[in-house]
Amino acid sequence: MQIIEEITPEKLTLRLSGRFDAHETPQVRQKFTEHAPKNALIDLSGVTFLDSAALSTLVQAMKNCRERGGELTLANMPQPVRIIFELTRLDKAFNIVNAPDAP
Amino acid sequence: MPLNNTHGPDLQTKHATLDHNDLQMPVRVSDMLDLEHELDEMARDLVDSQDQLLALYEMNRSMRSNADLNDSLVTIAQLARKLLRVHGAFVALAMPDQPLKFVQDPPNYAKDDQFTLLCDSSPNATREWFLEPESQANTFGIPIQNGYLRRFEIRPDVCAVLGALNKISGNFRSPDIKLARSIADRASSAIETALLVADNIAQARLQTEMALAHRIQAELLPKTTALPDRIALAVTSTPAREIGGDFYDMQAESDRPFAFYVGDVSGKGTSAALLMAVTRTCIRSQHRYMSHPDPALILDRVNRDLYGDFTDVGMFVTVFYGQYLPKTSELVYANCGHSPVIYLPSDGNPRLLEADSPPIGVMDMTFCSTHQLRFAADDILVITSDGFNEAANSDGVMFGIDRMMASIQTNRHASAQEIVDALIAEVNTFAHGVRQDDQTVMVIKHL
Repeated sequence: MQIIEEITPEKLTLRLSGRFDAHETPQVRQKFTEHAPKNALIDLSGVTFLDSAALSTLVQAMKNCRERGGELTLANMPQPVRIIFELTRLDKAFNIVNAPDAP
Repeated sequence: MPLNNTHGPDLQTKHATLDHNDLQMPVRVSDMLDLEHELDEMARDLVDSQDQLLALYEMNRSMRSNADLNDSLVTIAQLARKLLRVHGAFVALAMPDQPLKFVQDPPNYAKDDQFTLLCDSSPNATREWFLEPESQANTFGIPIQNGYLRRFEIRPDVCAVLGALNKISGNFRSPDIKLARSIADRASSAIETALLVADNIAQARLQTEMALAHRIQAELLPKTTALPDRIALAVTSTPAREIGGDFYDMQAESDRPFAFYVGDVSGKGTSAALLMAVTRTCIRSQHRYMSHPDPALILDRVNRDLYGDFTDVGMFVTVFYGQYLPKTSELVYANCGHSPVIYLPSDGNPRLLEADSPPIGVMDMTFCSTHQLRFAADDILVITSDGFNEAANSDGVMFGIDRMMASIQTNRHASAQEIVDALIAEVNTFAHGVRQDDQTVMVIKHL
């Protein structure tokens, strides 16, 4: 999986592409540990698959942002990824948008 | 004359020889004394060599029989002191993420600091040091007349220093250095052997613990239970590793509706297995003791109880919880994020019972409601973990929910156990027997 990182004082943005599974989650966790962002955006447009370990990582990142009074936004989910969020009803827990530059 | 002629020359020769020997006698005694002295030296060297060979043999023997790392280090230090004829010898071993091991003979001879600095494994780093009385490298906290330190690598990230301090007599000579290098070589092999044995023991211990955990987890999942009349139930759960995060349970209690549930903790391995056990116990307890065991209420209580724990470990669990109500031939259920759950009515097509709440542990409250469903003759309910629909073939294509539905529909007239077996066989054929995730399937059929 490829990760493109953009960091500003206001927000951490990660653009992910490829397979997001248990092998890749440590990298994403590391970004959140390193920057401890209040607000973050993860662009999933290039993600081809994600497993339950990846979902756990996103849930953890969301909780961390909310503990700091901010929010984690998931942007541009491809259809297979969106189906996983709908089947598990995680779409009710996350702020999901379709604009890559969403706040 | 004849006598003279006969013997004269011989006598003359003998005389001449005697004369010569008499003249050379003082020189010969001196040579003999020198030779005797050299012989003594050689005999001493021979005894030394024999002692050293014996000690090296003893070292090899004890190294072979020593599987314990600390025992090996003690043996190396003791033999280095004996072989190199020094007042004190030590081995310092530096391993990643562990404090430096420092073993010396005799114990408490010198201080044990600074050795990590010497353990530089880069190619150009110094391999040996000679210590003198004023040597700046002396950080041992004792007077040093002479000393020799030798660094040696065991693994790319494991390095050791062999040290010999203060010769009993004289200074370190070439044979001492050769011997010290030889001891370091043998020490390197001995330490590597001890580390391998330690690795193997740790691996064996882990395997034993995992096998035990596997057995305990298998025991937690019921094989049989008393079923309501006209209800058939078949279930199987296979973890991807020794232990997994999937679970199922059935509860038949006299004053409660028959309950069944399947859950899937995100992730695999030990932490998932621990949370699986906690969640199962929590659901059991709520089902048994809640005054009105409403499915949605049970899952909400479980979420309230476990939300903090799941947040601490960064995981969550999907759960489908159902009850069978024989009087009305109905199922009531609640679903927190679990998929796929397939309902196949006797007179219709299969459909998914979708979740209406995120999994347990994601938010501090659930959104699930209790749903009702007809469950009469020949109706079928299939609950699986995502290890079935997400099983992929070599092209990365997943088995998917549609194939699951087709399999169940094809076998709708078969028994609950046959439906389970057929589904497992089809998924295995599709994924060429490769199991990437825990796989749990429960089939309930109304007879």
